Amino acid sequence: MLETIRKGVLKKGVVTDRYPYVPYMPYDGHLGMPMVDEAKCTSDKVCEQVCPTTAIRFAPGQLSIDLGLCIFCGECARRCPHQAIIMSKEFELASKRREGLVRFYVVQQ
Amino acid sequence: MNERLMGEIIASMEEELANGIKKTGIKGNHVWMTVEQSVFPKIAGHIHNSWGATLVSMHAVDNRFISSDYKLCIILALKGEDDFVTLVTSVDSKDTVFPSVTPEIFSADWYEREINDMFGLQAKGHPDLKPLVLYDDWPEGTYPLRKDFAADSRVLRIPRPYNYRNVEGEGVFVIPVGPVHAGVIEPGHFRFSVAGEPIIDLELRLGYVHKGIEKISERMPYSKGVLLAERISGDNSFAHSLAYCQAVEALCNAKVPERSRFVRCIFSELERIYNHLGDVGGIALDTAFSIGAQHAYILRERVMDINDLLTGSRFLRGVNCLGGVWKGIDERGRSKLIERLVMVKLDFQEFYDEVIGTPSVMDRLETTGVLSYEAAKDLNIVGPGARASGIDRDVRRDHPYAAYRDLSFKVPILTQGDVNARFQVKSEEIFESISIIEQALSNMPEGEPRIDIPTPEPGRTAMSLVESPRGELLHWIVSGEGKPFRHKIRDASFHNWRAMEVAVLGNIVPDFPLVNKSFSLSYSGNDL
Repeated sequence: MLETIRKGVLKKGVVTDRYPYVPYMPYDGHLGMPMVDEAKCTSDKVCEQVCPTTAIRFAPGQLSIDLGLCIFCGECARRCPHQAIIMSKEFELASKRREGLVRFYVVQQ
Repeated sequence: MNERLMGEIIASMEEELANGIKKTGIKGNHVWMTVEQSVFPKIAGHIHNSWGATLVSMHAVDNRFISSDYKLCIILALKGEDDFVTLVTSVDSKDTVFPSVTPEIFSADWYEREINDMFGLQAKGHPDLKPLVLYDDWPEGTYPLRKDFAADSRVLRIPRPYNYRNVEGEGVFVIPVGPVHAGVIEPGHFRFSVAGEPIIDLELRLGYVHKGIEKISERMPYSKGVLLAERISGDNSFAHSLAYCQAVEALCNAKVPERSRFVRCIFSELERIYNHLGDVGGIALDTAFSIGAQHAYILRERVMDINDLLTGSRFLRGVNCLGGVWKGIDERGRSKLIERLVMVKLDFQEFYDEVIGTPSVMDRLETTGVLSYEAAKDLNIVGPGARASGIDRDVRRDHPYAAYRDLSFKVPILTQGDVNARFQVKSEEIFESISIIEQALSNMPEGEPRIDIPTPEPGRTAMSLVESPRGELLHWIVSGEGKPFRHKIRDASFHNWRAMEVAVLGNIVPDFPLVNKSFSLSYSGNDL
C-alpha cells in the first residue's frame, strides 16, 4: 500500500492540465478550425470540391464553412492552390445555436 | 512459384472437385479460381482443411448490370506462405440461392448472414440464417448493397421480433444487457443466460451502429475514400486508412516511396501502442485496480500527445494519402518521439511489474475467460486474442506490407488463452512496437513522402491486409469509374466478437467486462 502511494502520488505528481483556468496551446499542425485568408482566395472552388462533407459552400462573393459538418480532415487546406485556407489552432468552437457554427468570409467573385 | 502452388492445390483435390474448376488465373501472390457453384463449398472446405488455410473474407458482388449474376468470393490465406487463394462463383440473379459454406468452414457463418442481409442471397444449408447487421425493423426484401438500391433512399421501418436463442430450465435466468450501456461506449445487446452465478449461454446482437459505409464508399472518389476509411473505427483510424490506401495503390500498381513505407510502420505501431495501453489499463480498471489503470491511461495519453505533436491529430488522422503519407517525420519530431518512447518504455515496465506483483489482480486475470486453441481456430479469431490462444499468425510477419519486411520483431505467442495471456501478449507487443519504431526511425531513408498516383482503371481487383491493433483487417476493392465499384471492409472485430460467446461460458457475470476488455472489440468496425 505504502509502496503504491509512493509510486503513484509522490513520484508521478499531478499530470493533468489546469485548463480552462490556464489556456491550452495546441501544437503546430493541429487540425483546428479551418480559417480563410480572404485576400488570398480566388474563388476557384477547389476546397468546395474536395470537402468530403459539403461543409464548404460558395455563394457569390461569399464563402461559408459550416463547422457542424466539418470533420477537420484538413483536406481543403492541403489542396488549396493559393494556401488561402489554413487549419488554425482554434478549438473552442461551441455555440448555443446551430447557425452560430457557420463561419462566413467575404471573397472576390 | 504460384503456378506450381496452383498445380499442387488442384492435384490434391478429388476428381469431382477438380472438374468443377472452370477457370484459373494468377495475379501476384493471388491464385484465382472460378468454380462451379455446386462444388464451391467443397473446394473451399478442402483448401481450408487440407491446406490449413484461414478464411480471410467471404463476400458478394452485385454484378447484375455487367454479367447478369452475383459473384461470390472466398479469400483464403495459405498457411505459412504469403499466398492467397480466391474462389469465385456466380449466383443466379433470379434464383438467389447458393450452397452454404458454413458446414465446411464454421467461421463462414457470420459472413453468410451478412451476405443474406446486404444482398439477399440465401445460403442453403446454413444452420441459422437470421439478420446480423441490419436493424430489426429493416423491411424484408430491401437489400442495401444491391446496385438498384439507391444510397439516399429511405425505407419504411416495420418492427419485427428477433429470434433469440432460448435457454430453458429450472433456475435459469436471462439477463439482457444493452444496447444502451453505462458509460460512453457504443451500443450492443448481450443476452446472458445464467444458472446461479455462472453464465451458461451468451448471445450477441450487434448492428446498432450500422452506417452503410460500404455503400457510401461506392459513391466516394478514391481521394475522399481515405477520409472515410479513417472514420470506420475511431481508434483504428490509421490501420483502416492504410489498408484502403494500399488497396488503391495496388489497383494501379503504384510503388510508394521508401520513406513513406517506414513512416507508415511508425504510425501503425504508435497506434498499436496507444490501443494496447488503453486495453491493459482497461483490464486493470475492470479488476478494480484503479491506480494501475490510471498509470496506463497516463501513458496512453502521452502516446496520443506525441501523435498530436507529429500529425496534428491524436488519432493519427490526415496522415495517410494515396501514394504515401502527407506528413513525414522531421528532425524535431524524431527526437521528441525517441525521448517519449524511452519514457513510455520505462514507465510501462513499472506498470507491468506492479500488475504482475499484485496477487489480487492476478487472481482475477488467471483462468478467466479461457478461449481454447480449438475454439479460436474454428471461430477464426485474429490478432492478440488469437496469439494468446496459441494461433501463430500475424499479418506483419506472414504477409508483410509497408516496411515490415525490413524490420525484425518477435510475435509473442502464448497458449493459455485466458485474460492473463491476452494481457501478457499485449504487454509484450507494446515492447516490440517500441523496438519496431526505433528500428524504423534509424533505417528511414530520406526522400519525398508521397508521389502522385493515377486513377485506377475500372474493373480491377485488389486487396490489402493490415495488422491493426485488434488484429487482421481487410479492404478489398473492385475499381469502378473513379471510385470503388465494390468495397468490402472486414474489421478484426467481425471475427473476434464471436470469441466472447465462447470465452465467457462458465464464468461469472462480473467477469464479463474483463473478458470483453481483454478482446478489445469494436462495435463500429463490426457494424460498418
